[in-house]
Amino acid sequence: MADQPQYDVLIVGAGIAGSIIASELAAAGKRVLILEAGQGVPDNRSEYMDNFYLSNAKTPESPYPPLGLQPAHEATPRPTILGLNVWTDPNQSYLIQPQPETPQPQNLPFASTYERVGGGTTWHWLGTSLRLVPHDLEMYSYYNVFDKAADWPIGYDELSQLYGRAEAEIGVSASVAQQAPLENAIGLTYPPGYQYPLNPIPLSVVDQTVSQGVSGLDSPVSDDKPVFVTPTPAGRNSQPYQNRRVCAGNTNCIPICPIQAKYDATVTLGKALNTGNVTVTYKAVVSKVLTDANGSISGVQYIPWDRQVNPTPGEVQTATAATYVLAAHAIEIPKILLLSANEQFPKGIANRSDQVGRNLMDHVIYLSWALSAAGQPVYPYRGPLSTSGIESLRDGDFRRQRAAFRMEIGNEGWNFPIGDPYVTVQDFINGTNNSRLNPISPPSQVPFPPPAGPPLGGVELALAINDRLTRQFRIACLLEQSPQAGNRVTLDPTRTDGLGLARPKISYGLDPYTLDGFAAARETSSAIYRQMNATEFTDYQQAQNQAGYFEYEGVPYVLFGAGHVVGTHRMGSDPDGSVTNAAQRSWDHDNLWIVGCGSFPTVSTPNPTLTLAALAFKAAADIRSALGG
Amino acid sequence: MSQDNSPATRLQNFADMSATLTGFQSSVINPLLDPVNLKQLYLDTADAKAGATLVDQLIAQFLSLKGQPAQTLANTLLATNDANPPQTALVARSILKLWYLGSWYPAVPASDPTAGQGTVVSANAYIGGLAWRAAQAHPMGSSQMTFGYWASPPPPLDQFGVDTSSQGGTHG
Repeated sequence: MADQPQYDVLIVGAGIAGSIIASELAAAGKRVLILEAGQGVPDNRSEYMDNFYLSNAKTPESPYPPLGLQPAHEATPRPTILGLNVWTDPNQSYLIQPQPETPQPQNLPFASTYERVGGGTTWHWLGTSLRLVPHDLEMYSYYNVFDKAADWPIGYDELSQLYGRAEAEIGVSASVAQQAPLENAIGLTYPPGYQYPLNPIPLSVVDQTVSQGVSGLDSPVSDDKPVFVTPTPAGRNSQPYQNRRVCAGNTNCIPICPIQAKYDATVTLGKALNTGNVTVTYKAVVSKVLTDANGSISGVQYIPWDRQVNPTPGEVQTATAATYVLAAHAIEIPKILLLSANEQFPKGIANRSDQVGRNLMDHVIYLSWALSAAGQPVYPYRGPLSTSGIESLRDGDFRRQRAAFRMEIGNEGWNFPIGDPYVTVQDFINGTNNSRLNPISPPSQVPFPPPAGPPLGGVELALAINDRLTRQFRIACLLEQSPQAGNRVTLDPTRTDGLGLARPKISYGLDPYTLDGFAAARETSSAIYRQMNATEFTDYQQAQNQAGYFEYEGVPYVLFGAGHVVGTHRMGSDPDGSVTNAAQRSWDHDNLWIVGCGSFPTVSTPNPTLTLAALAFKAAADIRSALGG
Repeated sequence: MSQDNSPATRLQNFADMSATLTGFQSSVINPLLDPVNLKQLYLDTADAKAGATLVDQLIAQFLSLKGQPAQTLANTLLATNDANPPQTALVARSILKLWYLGSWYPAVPASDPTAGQGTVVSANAYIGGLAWRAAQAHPMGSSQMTFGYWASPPPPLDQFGVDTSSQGGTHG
């Protein structure tokens, strides 16, 4: 007995994947240690809310530490939107991304971000909980694109069962009946008799307007598939659930839900801790995974820290358990695995396939925006950030040629596209026209720079702002990006964080398959606005200096990240082409599981959290079985 | 012109001027019970950022024109027809942005590169931004509404505090 480790499982990362596995195993009586790099879960969210309220730029990261842009001097720096604006400057950007000679689609900034705090990035996830469709699992064998490793090593029936468990854990609000039209359109099915745990979220006025407006429209580019709006299944309460309140429509799922009506991983983490079988150590940055002579994992080293800025790194600690789970995020996991290279495993841990860090993918976003017809306001800036989408174009034979996409309809006006209400309000007070709304100057009709109306004040100002803001809406197309070996995370040993650890270096770009998806997304979005008699304002002609700007076939675009970081430790059926098996167990180390959306062989089109949660339940069952009982 | 510059009177004048500049009802700018007291915060901010002298000049101009129609008065204070607005008008525009957006923007011409660099004055200032009311909405991250409200159009604009009476019509 003296030789038995104190813990059955050591989990690196207290986000959603790590929390689900901890909760499952602790409920089965296993002893669990969680090492979380970031600070703990605050007693209440008022500190994070104040950070948000006081931020001049209300970016996704704005509530969470560290608040600065000095990755070399912070204990747990991470990619941020403010850092993306200076992405080639390693003094401000956590990710090391070399400056390309010219901006082009083959060399772009990786535009997504994540958090390193207890609860992980679910603090600012949107809540969207869409299931994959069957063809998503077989892009190679069904559509003959990418390569064999793009096929998922798991069948749809098994995944469907796992989805049910994930939806119960998250508390997904949706209705199977409302999703039913997607069976014909894209093959979405549910097990017989399945019902979501919570009632659906009502559609916003924006949703209703788009839904009516696209009536009868067939996609101009997606095999004439019908275009229709579907309520989005969401991890946000339509009824009290898990002792949390119902959604009050704060329009703030990202960066932070003020009332935790939206699920986040602190819910599951709390459940895990309540078993009494889980210990969590915060401010513990894992620096190395250790192996024994048999190639099994024998421990992990971590660095404790005291303060976020200019930390004093503590003495390196070693923690051990019978089994190990890396649940630290799709960029932090390859970082740890590569940092852990030793004589026996010179390419890094779990990397016999050389796939660790490769196939970095995101839902690259094509963003467009429009103004509803005069006198027909859609009343945005109300309700959850997004309550519906166009899912009917997520699958079809066109996927043999180009990327599919889903279309997320936003309830936050032009906040994402141009930063409103700030830009339009300043335009009307200054007498400028950066928004193209003072006066209304659609880019298709008025060349740059558009003329500006006079400054306004008094009731005239209020009425002008009312007219413009209440007519704004936007559509974000989330595109599936191809898995590419060259899109990868490596290490830059010359650029370290505040604890002296090498920071991730990124090589990233888009291939023609994905770029043709961008073009299709643009055409489809414009067709929708025309069909609705809305006036489109999408304009990237003046965006040359914006991070993510590129041109394709003569058309300017800006790539935005969705925060859906996928692919860097993909699972598969073949040990030579993948990092783990379908249970996310390392091919190379029998007591190591590597979980999270980095396990996805392909990104497909749905927001990934629900799927990664489903797969976490599978991993937990596999670990339990490996531990015996 | 002499001006009663006791702190209470100065604050009252600032609030009256703010109602005129913003087009919002006094009950929004200067409510009877006002524990949040944004008007005081905004007067203090304007004094600190632009200088009390300029703020006093602006208030004096407002008082000298009182009695004119509110829209005319607002246009004059903001110099809406002036391609090169005087400094008092730039301060008036910064105060107006403060009320609408909860951030102080430098009192400089719009062409100045710093013109768009706003600083959030306080959490309450963000939450109290009039832009959200003008949109018949609520601040992102501060909804007092109940589940499902977003499925229906909002109440008319005057219920959000815009002084639509002076325009002879409401935009519902």
